[in-house]
Amino acid sequence: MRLSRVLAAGFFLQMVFVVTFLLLLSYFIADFLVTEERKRIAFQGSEISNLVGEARLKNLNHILFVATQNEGILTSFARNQIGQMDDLLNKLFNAQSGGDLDFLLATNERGQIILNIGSELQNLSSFLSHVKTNILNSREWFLGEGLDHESNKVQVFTYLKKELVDPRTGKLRGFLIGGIFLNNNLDLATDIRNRTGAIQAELRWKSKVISSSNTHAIETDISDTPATLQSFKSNFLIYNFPNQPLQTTLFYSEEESLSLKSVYFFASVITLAVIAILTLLTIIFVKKAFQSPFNDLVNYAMQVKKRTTGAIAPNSNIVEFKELSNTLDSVFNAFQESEMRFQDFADIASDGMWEANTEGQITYLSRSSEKTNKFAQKENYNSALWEIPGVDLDFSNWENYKENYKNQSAFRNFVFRRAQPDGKLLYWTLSARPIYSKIGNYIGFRGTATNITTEIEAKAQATAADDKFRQAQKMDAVGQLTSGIAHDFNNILNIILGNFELLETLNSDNKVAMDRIDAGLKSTLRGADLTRKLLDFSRKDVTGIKRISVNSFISDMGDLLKKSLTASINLNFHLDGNIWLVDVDPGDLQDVIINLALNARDAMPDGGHLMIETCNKVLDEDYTRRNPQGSAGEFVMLSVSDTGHGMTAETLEHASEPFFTTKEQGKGTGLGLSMVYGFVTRSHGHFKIYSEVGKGTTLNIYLPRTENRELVQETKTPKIVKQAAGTETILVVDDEEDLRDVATMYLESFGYKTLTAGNSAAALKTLKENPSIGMLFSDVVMPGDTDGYQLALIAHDLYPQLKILLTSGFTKKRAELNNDGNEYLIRLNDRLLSKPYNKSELMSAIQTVLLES
Amino acid sequence: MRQKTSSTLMTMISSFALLLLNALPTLANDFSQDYWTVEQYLTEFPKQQEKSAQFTLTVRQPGQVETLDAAKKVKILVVYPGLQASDYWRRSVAAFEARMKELQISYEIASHFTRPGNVDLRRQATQIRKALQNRPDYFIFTLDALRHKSMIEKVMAARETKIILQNITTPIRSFRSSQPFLYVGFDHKIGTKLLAERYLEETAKKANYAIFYGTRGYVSTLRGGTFLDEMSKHPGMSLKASYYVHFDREKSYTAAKEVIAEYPDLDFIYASSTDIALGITDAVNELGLSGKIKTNGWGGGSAELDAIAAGNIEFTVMRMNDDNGVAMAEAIKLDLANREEEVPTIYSGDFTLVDRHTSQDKLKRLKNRAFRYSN
Repeated sequence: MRLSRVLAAGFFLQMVFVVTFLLLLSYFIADFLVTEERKRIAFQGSEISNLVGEARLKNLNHILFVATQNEGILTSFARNQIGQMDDLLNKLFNAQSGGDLDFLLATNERGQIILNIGSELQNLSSFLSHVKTNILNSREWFLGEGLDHESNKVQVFTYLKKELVDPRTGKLRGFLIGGIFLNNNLDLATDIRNRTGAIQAELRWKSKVISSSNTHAIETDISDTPATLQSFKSNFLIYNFPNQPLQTTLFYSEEESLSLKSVYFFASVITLAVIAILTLLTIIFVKKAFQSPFNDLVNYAMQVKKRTTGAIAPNSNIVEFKELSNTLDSVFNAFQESEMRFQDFADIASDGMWEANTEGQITYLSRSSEKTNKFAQKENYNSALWEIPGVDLDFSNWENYKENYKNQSAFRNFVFRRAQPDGKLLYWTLSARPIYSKIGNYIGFRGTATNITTEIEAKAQATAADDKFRQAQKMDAVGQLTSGIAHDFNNILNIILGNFELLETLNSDNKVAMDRIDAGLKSTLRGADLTRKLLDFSRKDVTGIKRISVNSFISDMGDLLKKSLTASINLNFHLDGNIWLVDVDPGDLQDVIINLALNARDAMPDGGHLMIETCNKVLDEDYTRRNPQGSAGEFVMLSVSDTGHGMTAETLEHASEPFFTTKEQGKGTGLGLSMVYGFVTRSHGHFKIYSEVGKGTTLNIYLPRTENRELVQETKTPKIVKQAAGTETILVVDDEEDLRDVATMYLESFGYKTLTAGNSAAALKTLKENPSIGMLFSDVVMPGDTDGYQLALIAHDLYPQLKILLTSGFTKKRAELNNDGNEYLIRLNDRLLSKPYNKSELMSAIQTVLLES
Repeated sequence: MRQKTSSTLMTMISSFALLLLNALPTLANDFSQDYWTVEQYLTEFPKQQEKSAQFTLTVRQPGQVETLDAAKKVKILVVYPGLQASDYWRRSVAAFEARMKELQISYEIASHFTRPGNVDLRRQATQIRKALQNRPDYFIFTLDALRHKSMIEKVMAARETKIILQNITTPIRSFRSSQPFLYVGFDHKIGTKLLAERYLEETAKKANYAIFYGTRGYVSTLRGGTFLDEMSKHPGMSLKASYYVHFDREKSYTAAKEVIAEYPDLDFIYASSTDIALGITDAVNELGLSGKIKTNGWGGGSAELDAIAAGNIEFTVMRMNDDNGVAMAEAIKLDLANREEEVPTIYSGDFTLVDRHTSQDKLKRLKNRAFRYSN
């Protein structure tokens, strides 16, 4: 519907309403005024009528007063001169102007009528009867009715009674009574009509017309006046005779009333016509002045609504429209700017922004939510978050999340995760607060979504790294502990071994003694083997590194392995053909494989399958995320699997720790996997154990692929120098006296001369005092400020020709020296004699050093 | 010189007042056309009933002093139709002034009494006009003729002087709601009815009687007319003669002798005033008919009470005379205290019938009350 029509219709209706209201109001006011005017006319008519009537009565009063004051009348009356009095009263009666007096009576003081003077036309019988009844009370004025027996009609009259007092004595002699008939009193009715300006006047007694200015309407209940006349009734002579049924009726023309209606009728017609014309003019004016600029504004608003670029605010000559247009333009621009600003922020922000209804169903997603982070998409509109495919319902406390919606409680950092189509898990944290409509109704939630996948992963990595570091620290501590113990054991074993070998020399003829010595030696060697394994766990130096093909190495061990296993165990190999080369200590590797095979055997007492596999593996970052103990790169994987009883998670956690074993007492040392750990660590690889109770265990060892892809040919081990009698003087330095004795005994058994020292200072002193000393054989670990290495360096500086051989049961020092980079010491380290050593090992090492140039 | 002037003025005013009274018959009409009776007025204006009751209590009680502007001296002009045998007017002045003093109202009063006689009416009118030119605050006057109405209207229209009308308790109808400040007096009708009842009681409603009016006018209509109406209700009460004796003792004496001579079987003569009663008493005593032909007093003034005590008058209606003056003083007090709305339009004092049988104690009490200020 067009605005102009609406406005025109409104204007028309409003004008009709207003004008109708005003017309009605003015009509009713006019009608009220007319009514009031009628009342006023009625009142005035009543008052004038009464004045006319009172004037008649005053005339009557005046006539009687004059008569009752007249000396002649009073005297004649007092003297009872009736004839004279009759003459005087007749003169008085006849002297009236007409209509003032219809009858005149004189009575004595008892009310007996003495004289009677009346109109020729009136029969006084009814009147006289009334006078006789009322003469002796104190009233002066009377209004009454009586039946005229001659005409049999009721006559209505009013009269005045005046006392006739003897002027001499003051005695009341009688009464003079004068009055008028109100019936057929045309004179009175006409006088009233003329004075009141009425068209017609009537006198009524008990509602019957008794006199009328229209002589035809007398003594009827209903006036014969035309119905078009407006009649006004009022009481007549009300001040003289209140509450009497005497009334006047005045008739006026009704023209005023008719003209009022006509005026209003024509005024209404003309007003309607004017309103119609004004309405048409309004349509034209509104169209031109308001609708056009208003339409422009509407179009502009529509353009803004559609986000039309470059929408121009309309211009108008009307100031108000112009201001409105400018205001709208400012508001719309500000709105668009604000919206754009919000959109930019929402797009740029790493956080997604979202809204949901009271049921948690998504109703809005910022583009960042939808495109960048994808915690939800547009197709997820009207779905609650927990209904979106891929959302992990087990990961988070969704009931708590739903409770927030129910309770309208703001929440922060609700974490959930959703699997992406590629399977990748992304983690999100949501924060939101409830939103309400303008009238305060709860309408849902509004919040942000932050992708915290990176943080989660970083945290996981950090935790793994921490675990790894903690594990390494633990293993390092265990390594230090075991190496310390092993060192002390080596010294002890060295003494035992030396003494057994001495006893062996001394009791070569005693078979029984030799058997015991042999048993002791074996046990000592077993102890030495044990301490070696301990040292392997903690040992970090790699002395026997070689580039090998794991396949070849394992193939070579085939027979050895089979011998290690029981017949009920089926051994299989799956060796990848193009296996990469690795740099490892073959001896260590062999120990590792054998140990694992033995563990598998122990895990399969009733038989089973043992599978040894090799293959190339490229481990990526993803792998390292899941296996933080590992590192990315190219690896050769050596896998040893059995179908044994498997391990529990708890067992797995401690499997690599030294001396941890699930085997029975005496059946296992608990050093198998510790050795594997030591080997893998030294080889810069890692290993992973998969085990399931009752199913079996698989241990994967990842050895880094060597950078140099060429296989190094096996160098032949130098032959042990044939033992020959020695001539040199050798200074044996050890803080353990027993060890010094063992070493001295060994060396002297080969013909060497020996000197001893308990510490470095004593050794240097002995060296200084004995220039003949050709060789220094010193323990590394010694009390005091100067250990074996420092002693070697000092001695080398002082006596460059001096041969030096170091021995130690503790490998930590060796690793430190290797890292220190002193070439001399590194070389000393390379030929360091490990404790415990036997006589031949000592001799071999001594001779090797002595033979060096 | 001053005394002579004052005497002349008083003579003129009293003559004028008498003239007014005498002039009343010229306009005489039915009473009800011109006046409201007390009952009619209280019915027409019901709020007046409560005011009137409260004001009556105030009048009966001792004066309560109101805090007024002491510096202002109230100017009062009083015109009394005095010098009658009745001491009503004298006592009224005395009670008024005594109450004014009791109320500690500072005032100056100019009192003018009238008496019958031929005076220069124009001079009387001039003197009243001059007295009013002094702009009194209150003009205490009486009204016995409607002709006074126009003069009162003019004074009221000037709004400088408030009118108190004495000895009239029937408000003029034509004043409608703009009545004078106070109508004060004793309702003639009430007093007359008390007397009529007593006559009916004493005569067993069968008697021959005569009525002695004063002058034809307001008072005669109310006192004589009312009595006639009361008697006319009983057929046994036979009116033998009526006389207009102009409140004059001598005329009353003459009329009484005449009427007694004409009607020897007369039982009583109704007197419309003290003077008339005393005139009748004179005639009756002279004719030796004392105790045979009875008469009454009207108002209960000292002269009447003495006549009753002497056995010349049978009974009278005794007005609590001083209430008249007290009411005027109290009305002025309330007006000065800006409590004008508490003043009723009419104050009608109390009557008590007193006869020769009334004990001396009771009479004394009545006197003490009626003349509590004027004695």
